[in-house]
Amino acid sequence: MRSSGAQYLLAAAGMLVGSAHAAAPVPGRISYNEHIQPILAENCFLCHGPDSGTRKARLRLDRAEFATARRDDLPAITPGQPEASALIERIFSRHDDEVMPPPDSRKSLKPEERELLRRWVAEGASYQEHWAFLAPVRPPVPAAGGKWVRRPIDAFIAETLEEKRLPPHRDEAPARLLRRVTLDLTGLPPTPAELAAFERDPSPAAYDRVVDRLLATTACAEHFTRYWLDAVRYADTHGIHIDNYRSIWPYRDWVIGAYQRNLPFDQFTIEQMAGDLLPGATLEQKVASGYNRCVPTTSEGGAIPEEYEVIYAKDRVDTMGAVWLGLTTGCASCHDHKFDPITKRDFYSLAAFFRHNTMPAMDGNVADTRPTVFVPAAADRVRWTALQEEIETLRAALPQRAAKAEVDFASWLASAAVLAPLPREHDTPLAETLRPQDASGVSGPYGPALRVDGASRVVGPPVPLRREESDSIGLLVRIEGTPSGPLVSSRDAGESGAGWELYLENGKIGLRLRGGRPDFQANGLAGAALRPGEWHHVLFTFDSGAWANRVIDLFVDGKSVANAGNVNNVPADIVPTAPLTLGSRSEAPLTGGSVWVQDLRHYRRGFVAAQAKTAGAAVEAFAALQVAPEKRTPAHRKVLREFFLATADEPSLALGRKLDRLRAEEAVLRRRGGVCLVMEEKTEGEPFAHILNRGEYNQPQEKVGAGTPAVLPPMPPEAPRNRLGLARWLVAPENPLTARVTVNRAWQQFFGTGLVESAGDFGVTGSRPTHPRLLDWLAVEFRESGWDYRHLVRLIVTSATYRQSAAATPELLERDPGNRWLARGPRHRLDAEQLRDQALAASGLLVSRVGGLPVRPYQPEGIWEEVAMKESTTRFYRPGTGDDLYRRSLYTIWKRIAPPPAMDILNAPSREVTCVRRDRTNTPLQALVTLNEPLFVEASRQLAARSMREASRDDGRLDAITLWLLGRRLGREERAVVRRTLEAARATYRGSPALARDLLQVGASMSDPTLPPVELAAWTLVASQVMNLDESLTK
Amino acid sequence: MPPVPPDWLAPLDTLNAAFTRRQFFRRSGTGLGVAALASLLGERALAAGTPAAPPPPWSIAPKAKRAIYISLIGAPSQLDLFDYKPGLANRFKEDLKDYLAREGERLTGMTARQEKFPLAPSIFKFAQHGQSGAWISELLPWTARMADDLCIIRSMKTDAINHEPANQLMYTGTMQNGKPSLGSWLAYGLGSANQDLPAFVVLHAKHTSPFSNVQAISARLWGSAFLPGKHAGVSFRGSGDPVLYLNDAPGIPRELRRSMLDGIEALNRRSYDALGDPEIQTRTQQYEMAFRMQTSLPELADLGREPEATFQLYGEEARVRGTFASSALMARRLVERGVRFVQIFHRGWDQHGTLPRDLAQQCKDVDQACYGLVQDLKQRGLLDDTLVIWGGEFGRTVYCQGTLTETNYGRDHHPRCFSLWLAGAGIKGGTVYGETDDFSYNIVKDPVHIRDLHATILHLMGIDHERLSFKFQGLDQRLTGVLPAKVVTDILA
Repeated sequence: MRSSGAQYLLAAAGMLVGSAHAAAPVPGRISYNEHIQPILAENCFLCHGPDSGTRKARLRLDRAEFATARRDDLPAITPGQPEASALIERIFSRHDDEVMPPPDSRKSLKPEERELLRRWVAEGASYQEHWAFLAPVRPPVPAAGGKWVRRPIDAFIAETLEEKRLPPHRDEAPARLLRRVTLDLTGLPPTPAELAAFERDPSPAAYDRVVDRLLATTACAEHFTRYWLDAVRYADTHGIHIDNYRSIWPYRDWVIGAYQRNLPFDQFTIEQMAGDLLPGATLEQKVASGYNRCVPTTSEGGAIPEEYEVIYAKDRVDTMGAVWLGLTTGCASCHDHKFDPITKRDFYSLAAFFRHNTMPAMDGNVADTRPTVFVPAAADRVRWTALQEEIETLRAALPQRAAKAEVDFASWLASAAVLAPLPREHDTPLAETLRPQDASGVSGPYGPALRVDGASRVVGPPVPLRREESDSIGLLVRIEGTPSGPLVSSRDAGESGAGWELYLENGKIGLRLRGGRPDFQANGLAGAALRPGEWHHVLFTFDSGAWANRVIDLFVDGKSVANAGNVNNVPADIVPTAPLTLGSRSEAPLTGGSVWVQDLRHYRRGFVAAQAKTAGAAVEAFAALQVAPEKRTPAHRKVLREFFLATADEPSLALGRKLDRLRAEEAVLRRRGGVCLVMEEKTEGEPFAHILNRGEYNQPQEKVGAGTPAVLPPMPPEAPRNRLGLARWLVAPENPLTARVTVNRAWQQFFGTGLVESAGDFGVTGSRPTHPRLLDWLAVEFRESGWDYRHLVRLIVTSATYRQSAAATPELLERDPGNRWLARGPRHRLDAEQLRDQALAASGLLVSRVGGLPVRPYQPEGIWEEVAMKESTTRFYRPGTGDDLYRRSLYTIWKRIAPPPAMDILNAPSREVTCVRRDRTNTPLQALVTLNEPLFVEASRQLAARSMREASRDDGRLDAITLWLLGRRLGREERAVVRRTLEAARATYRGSPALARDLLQVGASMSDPTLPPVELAAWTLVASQVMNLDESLTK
Repeated sequence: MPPVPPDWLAPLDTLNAAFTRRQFFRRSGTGLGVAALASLLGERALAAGTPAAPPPPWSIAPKAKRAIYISLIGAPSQLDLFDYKPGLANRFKEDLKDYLAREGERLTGMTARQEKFPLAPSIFKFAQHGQSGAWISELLPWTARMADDLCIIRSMKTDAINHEPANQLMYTGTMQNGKPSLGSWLAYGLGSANQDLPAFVVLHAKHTSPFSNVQAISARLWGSAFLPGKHAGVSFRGSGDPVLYLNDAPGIPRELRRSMLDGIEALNRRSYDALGDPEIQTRTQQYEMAFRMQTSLPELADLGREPEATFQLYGEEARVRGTFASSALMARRLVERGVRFVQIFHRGWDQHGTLPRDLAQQCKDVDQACYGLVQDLKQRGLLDDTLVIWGGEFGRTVYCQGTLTETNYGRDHHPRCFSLWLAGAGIKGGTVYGETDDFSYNIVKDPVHIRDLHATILHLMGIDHERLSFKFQGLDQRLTGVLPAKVVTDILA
C-alpha cells in the first residue's frame, strides 16, 4: 500500500516551486497519494468529496468504491479503461456544459494534470489511504551518508541529499554551534565562560555533554514551555469583551515543571487533557487540566450562553486537532470536511467530550471563574492541607459551644447595660472605641459616645487605596439635625487633594475619591438621610479582592447606599499623605447639626452587603438591649444571643481567637500561592452534543455521544467516553497522528520548518512530508522511547544534520532556498522572547526566578487603555518595578485583545487561537523595537557597563560585548567598523555630555556610578549596534 | 493630485543600497529571494525591475484606489440619526411586548427580562437635506450639509446581537476568531502603493464624553490572522510615538544613529558575503526604511503645518492629537500618500441609557470632522478615487431599555436593521437606499447584509470578492465566506 520514498520525493520536489503537484516531473509510476489526490483535492472534492452537504450528482471521487460504482451512464472511473470512465470523458470535454471542473467553479485542470489522470485510470486507478492516517511503521535506517552520519536522522537526510547530488555541509564552527544549540535549547545565549570551556575541549563527547547539560536546565524547560503556550493559546486574560485578568499562571508553571522533569509526552497529554479525571487526582494533575481552561471566554452583558458553549467546544476541538492530530477538524463544524474524511458527526462527537463540565459559559469577569483550585507555594503544601483541617475543626466547635451557652447567656443578659465591641481580628489593624473624656453626653452601644462636630481628630496613619489591595472603614454614627461636612477622611488638603472622604450632606452620607491621576474622581451620595437620633453602622469598602466584585461601596446598616463604581475605574493607586482623621478636614468644618461616633475600624479587606451587616450587628443588638426584657421578641433575643457569643462568651471568644490566628496564617499562605482555573467533569449524565445545522447554536439536529472520528482507530470499547478516554486514545500506539505531529513540531522548532511544512494540517490538503520515512522513524522512535521528549530533542540536536554550517552558496540557495533538503544548518531570526531574553542575559539584568504571577515590564502608555473597556481589570497598564522588569519574557502578562506590543511586532501570536507555527517576517517596525524599545536600550547600557568593568582597553571591551551577543570575537576589519561608531559616539558625547546623561537615563536600573558617563554612553551605542546586527538577531 | 513630499516617493536609487537590484536577483536566486524583495520594495519597484507581473486573478477595474472606514464602535442609533419615523411620535410608551413576541427576534440578556417594552420615539428633530431630500437628524448638522455626497443605506443587517461578535463580523466577515480583517484582505489583494508606509493603517480616536458606554475592541479587528503578517493594520497612535518605538532613545542624535546604522550595514554585508542568506540583505534594508520613517512619519503626523483653513474645515479639535478630528485629518494625509486603507476607530456609541445626552456628545465628536474630511478630499480631487464609509456594528431598538421619560431613554442592541453611509469613489451620492418598517425593526426593502457591504467595498476597490482568496486549512478562504454575497449595484455611480 505505501508508496516508496522516491515517489514522495518526486512530489516534494514539486513543492519547492509551488504547490505539491504544480511542476512535478511526469513520474515513472503514478501514485494516488503523490500525484492524483492533490489534483482531485484541489479541483474536484469540493463537489465530489467527503462533504455530503455540497456533493453534486451524488458522486464521490475520494474513495474507490464510490468512484467506480455503477451509475446510470458510465461509472466515473472504470479501472484500466479511460475511454469507459466518465471522469476522463468530462475533463477532456470541450463543451462548457460538460467539461469538469465546470467553468463557473473558477477551477481548471492543466493539460499535464488531465494526462496524469488519464494515465492513472489506464494503469488501474488504484487508490491509497491518505498517508497520515496509516500508522507509522519504523523504516530501516538507510545505508547512506557514510562517515558523515552521527545519528540515524543523518542517514535519512543523506539518502535524499545523495539523490539530489547535494553534499552535506561542513560542521559549524564550535563557537557558532554552541551559540545555536544554547539558544535553541534554552532561549538564552551561552556565557563567555561556557564558550571558552567548549572551545578548549576538543573531545568528540564535549558537544553531547553540553547538550545534556542544557537539557537539564530550568531555562530549557522555560523555553520549551513558551512554544507550548503558543500551541495551547495560554494568556492571562479571558479574551473576549471586558477581557479581565484570569488566574491561570499555576498551569503555566505546571508546564515548566513537566518539561523540567521530562514528563513523558503521553502522560503530559493525559494530565492536561484530563488530569482532573485521573483516579485520586493530585493537586498537580488538577492544575494540569487547566489546559482546558486556556479557551478564551466572555461575559458580555447580552451574550447568550448556549451560543458561547458551542464556540468554546469548537475552539477546544480545533486546538486539540491542530496540536495533537494535525487535523483541521473545525472545518467540520458547519459541514462535513471538504477534503478529509472527518464528518460533521465526527466533529460534534469530539465536541461532546468538552461539553460535559461545570465551567459556566459566562466567566463573570472575575479572575477565578469556577472551577478552580488554590495552589499553595510548593513549600506550603503540607501546612496548607493541615491548616484547612484545623480551621474546619474549629468552625465546627463554635456551634457546639453555642449550643451549651444558654445559661451563660441568660446571666449575661440579666446584667448587661452596654455592649462590648466585637473583637479585633488579624485584618483589623485599627479599632478605636472612641470614648469621650466627658461621659455625660449621648450614649452608644458601647457607652458614652464621641461628638465630632467642629473638631478634627487624628486617629491613625494615612489609609491609601491601592488597586490590588482591599481596605474598608467602618464606624457607628448618630446625627441630630441635618449636618453637612467631613466625617472621616484620609485626604490631602484642597479641592483636588488626593485621598478619600466620608462626608455628610444635609444628613445624607456620601463618599468622595480623588487623585491617582489628575482627571480622576468618583462620588457617591446616599439617596436617603440617616435617621436622626438613631445609631447607624456606616461602612466604606474599597474591595479589589478577586473573590468578590471589585466594588467601591458605602453601606449603611448592611445596605449599599452609594456605590461609587468599580475598582477598575481607578486609574492608579490613591495615596494620600494626610492621616486618618475624624471630623473636619483643614478648611471644611461640619455645620447644620450634630454628629456622634463610636467604634471606628480600619479593615484590610473588602466587604459585601451580608458581611457589612454582620460588622454592624451592634446597632441591632443595642436596639434590642434597650427593649424592656419582657417585651423582647424571639428576634431580639436571637440578635442579643449572637452578639453575646461574639463579644462576651469567653469559650467562644477563645475559639474565635484561635480561628483568627489560623486565618491569619491562611492569608499569608494564600498570598504565596495562587488560584488556578481547572477543569471539572459534571457528575451526572454522559457527554453529548447536538449536531448543529451550519454550526448555529440555535439549530440543533441529531444528538450524538462522545466519540472519535471514524477514519482513525477506535477507542477501546472499555475506555471511558470522557476526556480521559479521549486523552488515552490520543497517545495510544495505534494513533497514526499524535507522534508524527509532535516530532514534526519538534523538528520545526530547530530547523524552522517541519518535515511537514503545515505543522497543524496533516490532512489531504496539508503539505506532504519532505522526508516521510524520517518522519515515521522519528515518530516510532519517540513513541517507543516512552514518549521521551528530551530523548527526541537530543537525537535532533546531536545529529550531523543539525550541526552543519548554515552558510549557503548561491547555487545551494537557488536549488533549495527554503533549506528543506538540509544541505546546510538552520538559520533564522530569533523569536520575540529570545531576542528580549538574550538582551537581558547579555546585560546581566536577567532575573532568573522561575514561575509565579505574570509580570509587567515596560510598555508604551495607552496600549491597553485605547482598546479596553472602562470596567476592565486590564485597562490601565502599570509597569512593575525592580525584578519584575527583568524576568524572562514568558512571564510577561499576556492580554489577549492587546498582546505585549514589542512581541506582537516580532510575530508573537495573539493567543486567541491555537498557533503551532509562528509567522516570521522581516519589517522596519521590528528594527525599531530592537533599536528603541527601552529594555533593549537599557540592556545595551548594562552590557556596555559590564564590558567596561571587565576590560580596560577598547578591544577587550568589544570582545566582552560580542562574546555575549555573537558568541565570538570580531575580526580586524570588523573592529575597524565598530571603532568608527565608537569614535563618532565619543566625539558626540564629549561635545555634549548632557546627551550622554540622557541616554544613560533610559530604563529603571541604575548606571554604574564608577564609570565615566561619556565613555559609558559611547559604549552603550556600540552595544546597541552589535545587538542590532543580523548575526545577533539570528541563530 | 496635491503635492506630495518627495521623500515619500523616494526612488530606489536613493536608498542606501549596497547592491543593485540585478545583483540581488542573481544572488538570492528564486523563491524566497523574490518574495523578500517583493515585500521590501512594493509592487511599483518590482514592476519596474521585472517583466510586468500578470494582475492577480481577482483584479477588476477599480473605482477606488483607497478607502477610509470610520468605525463607530458601540452601534449608533439609526432611529435618532438617519432612519426617520415621524409616525412614532404619538405612540410614546406603547408597549411592544406582543409585537416583539410575534417577531421572535432574540433579545439580549440586558432587556430579555424587562416587563415592558415601551416605544421610545426619537426626541430629535429631523429635516430633509440636499437635492436628495435625505432625512437627517439635528444631531448631525454638518453631515446634513453634505447629504448630496452621501449614499445612506438604511437597510443594513447583521447576524450578531452583541458587540464582540458583531464587530468581528463587521470587520473580519465572520463571528469566528482567527480570520483576517477587512483591511488586511485589502492590503493583501491590492498591495502597497507607497514603499515607506503600510498599506493598512489604524487610528484610535478618543471620545470626549466621560459618560459614554465604551466597548472593547480587539487587535483581531485589524489583524491579519492567516494572511502574511505584513498585511496587518499598523496602529498610528494618538499619543506618544506615532508608530511604536519610532523615536530614538534620548541622547542619540541623528548623525550618530546614521553612523551606527552605517556600521550595521557594513557588518551585515560581511555576514551576507560569508553566509549568503538573502534575509540579511532584507534586514539591512528594513533598518534603512526604519531610519527614513523616523523623519517621514513625524512629519506626516505633524499637523502643525496644515493651513488655517484646514482647521476651519475639520474643527478646532483637529489641532489636538488623538481627537477624532485630528484622526480624520490624519486619514486624509495618509491616503494622499498612498495608504490603501485607513480605519478610524471611535468608541462610546453604546447608548443603553441616557441616549439623548450621550449620543449628542458622540455626534459632536465626529460630525464636523466627517464633513471636513469628505470636503477636503473633494477639494483635493481625491474623493473621485477614495471611498469613505461611516457606520457601526448593528442598530438599536425602537423600544426603551430602562426608564422611559419624555426626555430620556436608552436603546438595546438590534441586529435586524441599521444605517450606514458611504461617499466618494464609485458611489452614487445623494442616494437613500433601503427602507425599514414603521418601527425601524424590520427591513421592508433592499436589505444589505454585511457580506454584501464587503462585496461592494471590494468591488469598488477593484477586487472580485469571489476570487480574492487565500489558501488556508486546505480551503480557499474568502472575506465573504461561503454564504451568498452580492455587490449592491444600485448604489454605484
